[in-house]
Parts: sequence; C-alpha cells; structure tokens
Amino acid sequence: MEKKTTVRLSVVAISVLVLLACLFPSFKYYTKSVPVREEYVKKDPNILRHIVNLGLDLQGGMRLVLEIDRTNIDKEHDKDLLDRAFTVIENRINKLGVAEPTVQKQGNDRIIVELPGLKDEESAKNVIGRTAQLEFMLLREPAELDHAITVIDNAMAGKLPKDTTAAAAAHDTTAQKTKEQQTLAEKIFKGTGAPKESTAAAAMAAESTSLAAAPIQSFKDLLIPMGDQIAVRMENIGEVNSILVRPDVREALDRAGLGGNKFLWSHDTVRAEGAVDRVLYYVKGSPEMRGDAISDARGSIDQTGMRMGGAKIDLEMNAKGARRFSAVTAANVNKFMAIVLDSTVYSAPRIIQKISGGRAEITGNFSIQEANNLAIVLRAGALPAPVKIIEEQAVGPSLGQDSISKAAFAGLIAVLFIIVFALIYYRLSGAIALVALAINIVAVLAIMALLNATLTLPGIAGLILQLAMGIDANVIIFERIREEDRMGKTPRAAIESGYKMATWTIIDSHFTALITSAILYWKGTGAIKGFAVTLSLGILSNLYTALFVTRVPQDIIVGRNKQKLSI
Amino acid sequence: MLRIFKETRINFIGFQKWAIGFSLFLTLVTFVSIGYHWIVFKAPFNWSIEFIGGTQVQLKFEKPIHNEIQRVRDVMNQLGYTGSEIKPIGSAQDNELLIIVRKQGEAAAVGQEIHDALVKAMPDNTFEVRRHESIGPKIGGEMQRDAVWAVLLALVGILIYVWFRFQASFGVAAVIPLFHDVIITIGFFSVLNREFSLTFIAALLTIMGYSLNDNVVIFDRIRENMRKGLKGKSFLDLVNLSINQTLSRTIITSGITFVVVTILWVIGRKTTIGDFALAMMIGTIFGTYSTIYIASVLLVWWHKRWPIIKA
Repeated sequence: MEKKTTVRLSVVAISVLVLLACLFPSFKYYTKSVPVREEYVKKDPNILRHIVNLGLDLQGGMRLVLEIDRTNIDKEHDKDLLDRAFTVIENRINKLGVAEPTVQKQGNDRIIVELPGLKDEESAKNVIGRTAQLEFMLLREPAELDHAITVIDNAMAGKLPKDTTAAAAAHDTTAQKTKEQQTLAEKIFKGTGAPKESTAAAAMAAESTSLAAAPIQSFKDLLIPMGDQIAVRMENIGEVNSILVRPDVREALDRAGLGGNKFLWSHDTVRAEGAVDRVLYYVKGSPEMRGDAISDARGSIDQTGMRMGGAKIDLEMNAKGARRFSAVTAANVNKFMAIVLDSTVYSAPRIIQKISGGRAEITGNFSIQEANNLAIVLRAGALPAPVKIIEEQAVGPSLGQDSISKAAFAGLIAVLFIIVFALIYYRLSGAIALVALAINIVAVLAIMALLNATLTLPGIAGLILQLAMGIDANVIIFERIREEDRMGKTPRAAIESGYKMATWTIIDSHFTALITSAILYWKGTGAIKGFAVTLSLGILSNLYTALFVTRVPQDIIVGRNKQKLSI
Repeated sequence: MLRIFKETRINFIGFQKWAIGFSLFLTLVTFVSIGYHWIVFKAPFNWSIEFIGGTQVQLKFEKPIHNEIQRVRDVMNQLGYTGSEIKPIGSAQDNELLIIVRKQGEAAAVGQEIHDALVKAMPDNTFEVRRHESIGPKIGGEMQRDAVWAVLLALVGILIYVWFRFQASFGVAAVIPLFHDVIITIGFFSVLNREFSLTFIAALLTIMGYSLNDNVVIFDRIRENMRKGLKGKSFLDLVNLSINQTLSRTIITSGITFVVVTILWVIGRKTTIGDFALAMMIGTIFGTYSTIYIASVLLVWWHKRWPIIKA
C-alpha cells in the first residue's frame, strides 16, 4: 500500500472509532427499557448530556411559550423582569419532577419551557403559570363593611357621599350615619332582615333617594348574610363584580374614606339553602405581610379538628417574617386575618393570640395534589409579573412511539432500496459508497450526541433524505470515473482524475445546499430546527465521507488489482 | 459495467418552447388557484394554526367514528366553534379525528374545553388525546413574517454565492428556477387544498436547496466545457452537451431522491411529515426539470445577447 493511502486509512479508522465512542452512551441508554434508564440517570445524571436527545414529538411531552404581561408594571421594575421571572419559573419546573426540562429566554418578554415525558399537564400549567402572590391581609370590621355597602347603594342610586376628608362639617353627619349603620348592621348580622327588605334602607334618613326606583337590584340585595361574613350566589357574582368596578362606585368609596380597602372573593365555594355561594371578604388593601416572608411551604393532610383528612399547606416563615407576624398578630387579637393567594382568599381565621413561632397554615377545599402544587409555587417564590401562555403543544407518548416506529420503518425501506441499487449498478464501488453512507449517518448522530442536540421526527426525515443526497456525491464521482475510464485512462488514473474533477462540483453543491439548511436552523423552531440540524450535519459529514473516506478502499483495491475497475 | 444511458445526444434545449409554455401554464394555474382561494376562503393560502393562531386536537377513539363525526360537530357548534374543521386522519381502523379551531383569540384553554365537552357528550366512546396544540395569533403573525424572511434570505444568499463562484449570469440563472419550483409546489398544494404549515415552508426551503444543487452540478460541467473552448460549437450546443454528459447522474440522483421521499410519504402520510414528503415529491421532479428547462435555457438566452467573456 502506498504511504498516502496508509495515512488516509489511519485517519479514517481513527475517526470512525472516535465517532462510535461518542455514540456509545446513547446506544447504552436507548437500548434499555424505561425503568433501567431511570436507574442510569440516578446513578449518573450527566449521562443525559452525552446522548442524542429525543424531541418532544418522539418521546411525548409538552412545550409552552410564556409571555410576561407588563400591563401593570411600572418602569422602574421593568428592566430585569424577564430574568426574575425566568429564575422563578426555572425553580418551579425543577421541582416538577420531569427528567430533562429545558427553560429558555426568548427576546424581551418570552420564556420557552419544554417538559419531555410529562404526564400531568394540568398540574404543570398551574404550577408554571401562577403569579403566586401571597398576601396576609386584615379583615375589616363589620361596621366598616356595612358603611361600604351603604355607600355603594347610594352611589348606584346616584347619590355621592359628602367628602369625609373635610373634618368638622362631616362630624355630625358621621355620627348620625354611624347610628343608622348600627341599626342596619344589627339587622343584617342578626339575620332578622331578609336581604330584600328595603325598609331599613328607606329609613336611612333623607339622604337616600328611593332605591325602588333603581332599575337594578341594589348592591345590598345581592348579598347574603353568612355568620360573620357575607356571601353571594354564584349566578350573581358577575353582577357584583360589575358593580364593584364602576367608576362612580369607586369614587364614592374613595370619598367616604374607604378607598384603601378591597373586596376579595373566597377560593372555596359554600353550600347554603341548596345553592352554591362564594364568600365576599372586605379587607384592608395593603397587606400586612407578603410571600417573601415565607421560607418553606409543605403540603400535608390535616390530622386534627374539623378538617380532618383534608389537605393543607404548612407555612414556615423566615426570621424577619416571623418577627413581623408576631407583631401583627399581637396588635390584632380577635380580628380576622385573610390568607390571600393571587387575590383570592383561601381562609380567614380569627387571630386568637399573638403567634411568635412564625408558622401558619393555609386550609381550603383542595386535594393533596393541589396542596403540593401550591406549596411548590410558594417555595419558588412569586412571579414578578403575571405570565400568559401564548403557545402550547403537547404530544402524547403513544403518538411519540408510533412516530418512532414509522420513521424507523421508512428509514429501513429507504436504506434497503439504496443498498440494492448501489450494489447492482455500481457493484463493488457501490458497496464502498454504502459504507461511506453508513459512516455518514454514524457521524451525524455522533456529533449530535456530542452537542446533546435533539432529534425530532423531521430530523429523522432529514437523515433519510440525507441518504439520497449523500449518495449523489458518490454518483457524481463514480460517473466521472466511468467517463475518464471511457476516455482510455488506466484505472489508477481514472480514479485520480475522477475525484479531482468532481471535488469542486461537490463542494459547490454542498455549500449551496448548506445555505438553505443554515437558514432553516436559524429561523426554525422546535421540530424544524431538528430537521435543519440533521440535514446540515449530514451535508458537512458527507463532504468528508464521499471525498475522503471512499478514496481509501478504492485506492487499496486498485492497488492490488491493477487492471479492473469495479464500478 | 451497467449503464442506463449510453452516449446520448438529445437536443434538450430544442424543446425549450414547449417547456416554457408548460411552465407558464403551471404558473398561471397556481395564481388562479391562489386567487380562487382568496375570494372563496378570504385567504390566499390554507394557513395552518401555526400561522393564524388556533387550537388543534388529535383524538384517538376506541370505537369507529364515521358516524360519530356529526356528534362531534354538534358538540363543537354548541361550544360556539361553528367554523371548526373535523376530519378523520390516518387509516380507517385508527379511529382518529383531527379537530381544528382557527383564530380563536387568546384563549389557550380551548383544548381543555373541547376535551371536557366531548367527554361529557360521548361517554360511550372513550378517546385518548394523541396531541394538541394551541397557538395565539400574535405568534402566528410572527411565523408568517419569519417564513417570508427565511425564503428571501435564502435566495439572496444563494445568489451571492453562485455569483461569486461562477459569474453573474450563472447566479441569476441558478436562482430563477428556484422561484419557479417554489411557485409550482405552492400551486400543487393550493389546488389540492392542503395546509400551509411550518413543515411545508421547511420543505420549500429544502426544495430550493435541492434544485440549486442540481443547477450547480450542471453549471459546473458547462463551465468546464467552456474552458475547453467552443471549437466551432454554438453555446447552445455546448449546453446541450453538458446536459447529456451529466444525464446519468441527473436521472440516478433524482430517481433515488424521488423514491426515498415517496417512501417517506407512503409510510408517513398521516404524521406531521406527510406534507413535507408530498412537497418534496413535487419538488424533486420539478427541481430536475427546472435545471434543464429554466436554468440552462436562461443561460443560453443570456449568452445569445451577451457572449461569454470568460469562463
């Protein structure tokens, strides 16, 4: 063998061994069943970085594109909003128990999440998408609530209260109001007045105009007394909300000095008198404490008291939070503290005594699964701004499996066809071309394993397509060699000449094809990107296999058998 | 040595008038079809939800569904999605339905809504959700823009490269056939009323790459023959000769590629790459055709007016 050929042979041999070594982890991983794979991952989590990744369309899973809603954010918090949201979401996802989640930022406002092998979509979306703003808010006294109700009713009737910030002038009106409110309050809270009774309201001094003339029910009419609180029938919730957002109502409340309070709905529904209601809480607008006071949250089953068997979340506060909690509870004994998550009241227990241990519970009508999800969300922290899901894709594992089998089958048939053709038409040279093609595929997969790239269904199509385009390079060379042979050159010379003439043609054609696949990679998303990856890698490795690798056996064979060309 | 083509001397360029006529005809059909779509369906193309937003759900039912489609439609109408598309996919025994709701605004909960409604309405025929997608319209608009950009960029990049490696006339003659192939493939898909999805755009780009590949190989041979000198032949003769010389390679490569993508189509018809394979089938045939009858013909025309200065 010539020295040139020996060198070439060594290069090819070494490259093939290196490529096979790169592929070994993937081979080890994918040929085992699922439970054994999980074993591997437990023993060596890094293995997932050295294998070819399977796309969502092949192993099943979910992909979400989240967008930050900046509508309520002021400019100063704007800058690192995406980074903070990204950290929070990354934290939450890592706790979901998915094997290889990916989280990426995109542009200024978006986060892309991929969860391969995800089984519980609903939980995942809830965990990821919740703003998770936890607040502890004090409930307002019944008297104040009643005042608010009156103000709202008046506003609806077209009567705005006098501006109460003017001190002296308001003084006696307030006194009179308070007296009347107390009468009304007693009536409501003792349950003696059915909500529809408007006599109490009509008796409220000359200030109120007739409510009966109002075209819609008065605000008060929509409320049902329920122990210490008020509730609203489910079907009336919409109307209550529309009343509460009315500008005239809000202005009235502001003027009455009640602008700092909020109305919040309960998370749980209650059954009463055969109907389903939600409780409407009246709380002090600014929270006493927020979610940043929490150092840990765990879901658990309630072992004691009325909620035995139900789920709850145990909260543990950090040092600063515990101190604050202690101060707040000490100052507000016998008042109620609402535990609010994303502007929904989960519970509003009475503060019996000062709590210094920095512990609290969130109870409610949820399952242990929901409790655990909420706990995850509380542990990871609140999102700095709400996020919206603007794109969602999910593939079930059964479809993923099917896709793999179909792809493998198609690949097999295509390969058989090419093998048969190559052997019949180009004989021994055809066999050489096939070996080169095989090395080509191995090279693509090996580089993908090295880069931990993702193989998708279009990616497999790209590989199959690459087989056809790959053999094109060999065809060009072989046809060229045949031409040179026909012109009367010796086999040696024909091969030499053939490769030389064909080289630039092949480089040109491959580079131009590379332009389009590079653009596909750049502009493509998800599955398409996978296609661009296999195609681009295939084109590049084909340059190597067709021009370099096939040379070696050709030279060797012709070296031995100087007369005949098997092509 | 097995040879399909002995030394051929076919006057390919001689058929140029027929070929141009054929291409013009197909281009016309394409534009007519697009226009028809625009008028009847209010959109030039049958965009997939990836481009206009919407929700798509693929369900596999336990029992046969041809009679059930009406029930499903009733449920969809009740939910308010009267324009939704409901079609069976795959083979008859798969019992799979694809439900597509286009352009429903930002509501990404549509998929869950459909799922719950169907579970309630059809308790006797359980189903499994094979996959589902929900895309907001904003993303859709971006995809459209990206797709157009990608195609334009590809064309410019190719033009520059070929101009640099060959000469100006070759550059232009290499790029125009790509327009032709893309338009005709779009035409086929328009006439067959097939969906324009991201995979279809990917196929278009791949077809461009493939067709260009073909053009470059022929141009390379033409350039080589030019270097050997005209020797009394006309440029047209030289081009014909180049085509004949590479005919073996052209037929074999196109043949193999066509068979391979056909295999992909036959087996992968109901998967997400079905449309891709179909587009490639059209693209490989016309890619080869356009190399001879658009690219080479353009070269001949160009150099009839402006003789070659150098090779």
